[in-house]
Amino acid sequence: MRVGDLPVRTFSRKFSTEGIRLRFGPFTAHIVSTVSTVSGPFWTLYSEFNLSDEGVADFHLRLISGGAILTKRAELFAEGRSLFGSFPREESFAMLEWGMNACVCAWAHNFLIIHAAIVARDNIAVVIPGGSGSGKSTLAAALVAGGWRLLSDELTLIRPDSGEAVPVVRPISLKNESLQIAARLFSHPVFGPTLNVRRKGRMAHLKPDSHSVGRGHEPAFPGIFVFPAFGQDFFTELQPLQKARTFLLVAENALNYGVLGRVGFETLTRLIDNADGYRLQYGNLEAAVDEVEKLLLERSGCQVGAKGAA
Amino acid sequence: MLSFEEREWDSVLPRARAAELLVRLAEDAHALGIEGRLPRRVQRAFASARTQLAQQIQVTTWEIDRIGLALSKLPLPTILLKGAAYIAREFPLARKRFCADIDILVPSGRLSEVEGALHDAGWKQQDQDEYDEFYYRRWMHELPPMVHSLRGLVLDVHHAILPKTTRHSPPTEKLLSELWPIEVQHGAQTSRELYTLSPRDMVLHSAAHLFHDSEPRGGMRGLVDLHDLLTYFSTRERFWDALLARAVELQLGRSLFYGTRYASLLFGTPVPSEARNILGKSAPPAPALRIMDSLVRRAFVPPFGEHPRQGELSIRLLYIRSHLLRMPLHLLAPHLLRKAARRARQE
Repeated sequence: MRVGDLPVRTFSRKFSTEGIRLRFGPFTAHIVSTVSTVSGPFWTLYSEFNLSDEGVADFHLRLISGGAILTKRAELFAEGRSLFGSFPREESFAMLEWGMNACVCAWAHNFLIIHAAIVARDNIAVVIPGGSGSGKSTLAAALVAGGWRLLSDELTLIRPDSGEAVPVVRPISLKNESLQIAARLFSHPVFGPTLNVRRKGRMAHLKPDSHSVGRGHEPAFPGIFVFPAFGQDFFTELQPLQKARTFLLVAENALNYGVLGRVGFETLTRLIDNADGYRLQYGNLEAAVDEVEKLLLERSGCQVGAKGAA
Repeated sequence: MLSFEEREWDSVLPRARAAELLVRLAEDAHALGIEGRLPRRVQRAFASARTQLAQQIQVTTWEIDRIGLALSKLPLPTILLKGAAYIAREFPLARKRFCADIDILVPSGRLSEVEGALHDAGWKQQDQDEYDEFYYRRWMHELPPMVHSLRGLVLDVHHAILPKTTRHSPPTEKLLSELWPIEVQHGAQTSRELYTLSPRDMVLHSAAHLFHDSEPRGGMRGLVDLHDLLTYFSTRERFWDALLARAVELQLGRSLFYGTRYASLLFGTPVPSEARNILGKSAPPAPALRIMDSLVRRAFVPPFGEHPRQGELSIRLLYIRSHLLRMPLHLLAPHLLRKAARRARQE
């Protein structure tokens, strides 16, 4: 059963009482929320996600409204522990999103976790690492608008045994100008609550497209790493990176590289062996998308060639 | 574990994580070879926890080695405490618990030398405000936490196992009188003098820590540590006699009474009946004991489920109690007020 199969009122009641078991990527989260304003946006943005009927969930989250009526605060608990202390109630939706990410980062060392967006076409994945402001999520959103499949806008999960990237499709978190860009790129964009975050500006979550959600269990092989650098007045410039450099840059963005120890090193080595790395400087989003499209063509071209030779 | 239904696992998993005991279940399942028969998601949670533990042991071992090197030039013993000690000694319990930071003990008069040597080797104090700095240095039994600039582990340097302000803070010199040297296997490194407390002092430290600690939320894990240590050492000849004598000498009888009481109540830790009788003399008056019993039962069981704040009051009371034990009231009141004011400002 999918979230959207439940009428919104039934969903809200369930959400605030026994909770829901949401499947996202390889995980199931048991989520209870007594903050009434969250259930509407959640129902909308996650409408195409499956609910699990398994008895045991990977993570257990509980969002509760608290504090005096006047202060209007809320708090998020994961496995009984407060994640961020108390926060203004209107931040609840975003906090729940971050809380789900925090659970993956803390308790899913079964994967090499890279702080990167990841999109795929023809099951070749492009991994886009980068911190806040690098243009990572915007570039990923633009590619998805152009027909690429989203695997994640934040967390790239690599299986150590196979080297595959496992999707964890979720709403895409966008800030400031990216919000307008996304509104322009997609024909019917659906956004969650807009939030004014101190120092970071406006942010909101974009509902992931049906195609990506529907194929949310199909892994893909990372073939290309793109390190974006966005600046208003930058020329578009694609610069190939040496393997060793790519390795170091990806390792820097791998959240649990140290935790996995030897397995982390071996996983990353194999990943970089089979992929090419580029630095992509851009000021114009369409031009950046074109560059990535070209990279994919080259890559699938050489694979077809290799098959032909064999 | 094999008898659990999926629904039961669904409540065991988060509770075990909250109490920091998940890795213990994971190790036990692994040792018994039953991992493969558990639900898929449980297997995955266990594997993740074991991966994390392996890394912590490796990182801690290396950090201990570096600390030993940094302090090797000083003519002082460096004593590893708690998690670091268990790892260095390769106790079975080290493979069943997370160890987030490293604690060492050094002779009280030599703190500044130690701080200097660590500084030279790259350890820095973490940022904190002036009041914290003052509080640590004036009243506490440790330096403000340090971190090596190239690595992430937090190092706490203690000069006593309990704060100076504690009524019966055991003098560090007494602990130093029966240190237990660590035999380093690699011949090249024998020049580094690393020690742990003696077995009986390890137990007393663990017990004292339980009820003097200002974070009773971790109480369950602390009690499990005590259980493991007692179980591990009780096979030694005359261990209990030595332990009881030392408890009297260090004036930690009350702590040991509480520790053994709750460990045996909750985990059935074997305490010989003779020892139980002797420890009974260190019990508080019956009404006080009843209050303590109920506080401990509520605060130590990790909060979970519909009432994440459940147990909060008991935790608060134990928190205040731990502070009362550490500081006389005229020092404590301004300290807690200051902390409360700061929390309010942050919100």
